[in-house]
Amino acid sequence: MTTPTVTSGITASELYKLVSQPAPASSENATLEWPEATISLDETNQTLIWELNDYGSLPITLSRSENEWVAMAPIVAIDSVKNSAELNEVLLRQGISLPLASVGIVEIDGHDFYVAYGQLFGDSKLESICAELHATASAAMDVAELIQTHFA
Amino acid sequence: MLSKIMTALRGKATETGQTVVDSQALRILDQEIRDSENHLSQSKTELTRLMGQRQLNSNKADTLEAKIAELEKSAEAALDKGEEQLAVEVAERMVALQDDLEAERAIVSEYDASIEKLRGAIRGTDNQLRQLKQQVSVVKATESAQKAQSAVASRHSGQNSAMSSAMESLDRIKERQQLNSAQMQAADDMAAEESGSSLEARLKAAGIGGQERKADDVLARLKAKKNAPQE
Repeated sequence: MTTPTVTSGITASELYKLVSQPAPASSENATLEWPEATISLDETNQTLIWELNDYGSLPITLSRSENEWVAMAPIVAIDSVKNSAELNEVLLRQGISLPLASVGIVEIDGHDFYVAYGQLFGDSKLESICAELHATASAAMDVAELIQTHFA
Repeated sequence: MLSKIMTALRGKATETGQTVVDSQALRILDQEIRDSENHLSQSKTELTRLMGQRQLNSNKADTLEAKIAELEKSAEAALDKGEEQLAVEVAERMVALQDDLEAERAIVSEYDASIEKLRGAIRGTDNQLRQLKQQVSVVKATESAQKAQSAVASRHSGQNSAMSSAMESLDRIKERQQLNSAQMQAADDMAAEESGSSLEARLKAAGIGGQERKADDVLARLKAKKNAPQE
């Protein structure tokens, strides 16, 4: 994978700098409620990793390509779900009610995982990026609760 | 697009895994983008050609129109001078040119229709190209997310508890909540106990209950027993 050329909006590294330093009171960033987290930067993958304090240390990644941001949080490994066909149907039908986030299946570290994810244009406002992080984390927890209650 | 990726994946039934999906998807997308860009560039060349051609025919029609207008004046002048025969010849020439003019106009409107159609096709290809480029961008960002999540997962897999999904976070939150409520219960109990013992202390201070008082009672009873007359 080649290093993405960013055509618009800020890069993952720039955002990392922004969120890991206290913002000047005048800046746009100052009014934003970024989730409380331990934040790190995976430079190779142009990805910020947030381990969210208020979401039980949920690791949510925010990756940047040429024109897009993708926020992603793993929910559960597919093989620990009972009756995944029914769950898939529920997610297809009810997933539309999850604000700003969707549920998909992605291979992580050799295992298929249900993930919550959200996509944004690369030039999105910080406010939108911030909202997307909260939305994706909430969606992940919401679906985890659904699975724990009905499909575990 | 999704259908093409599906077809490609079905053809690769022996290979499995996300990596194949992503590389296949990107390969197909890149090919689609190249095809669309070629198509777009051909369509634009064709559009330029059609517009040039339309202009030529439109110019011809204008020339014919001017010529006809000129001939009409000539015919009128010939009639004014009583040159009837000449006027008839000019009129015949005008009719012939009028036929040519109508033919040119028909060609021009055919070009207009073709140009409109081609512009529609170009808008379609533009939309498709935009969608494809966004798809590439999103597939790449997803691939980055996937790699970063894998790195997080393998970083945590060495530890006792896996820490890398919402399900585990949920468990942690519930554990924390249980711990919190257990702590609150314990604090309640302790508070109750403390207020109980302070009551006991106050009773003791008032000379009610308490260990010392009991000892005094026992001693008094023993003394009374000793002093009592023997039977």
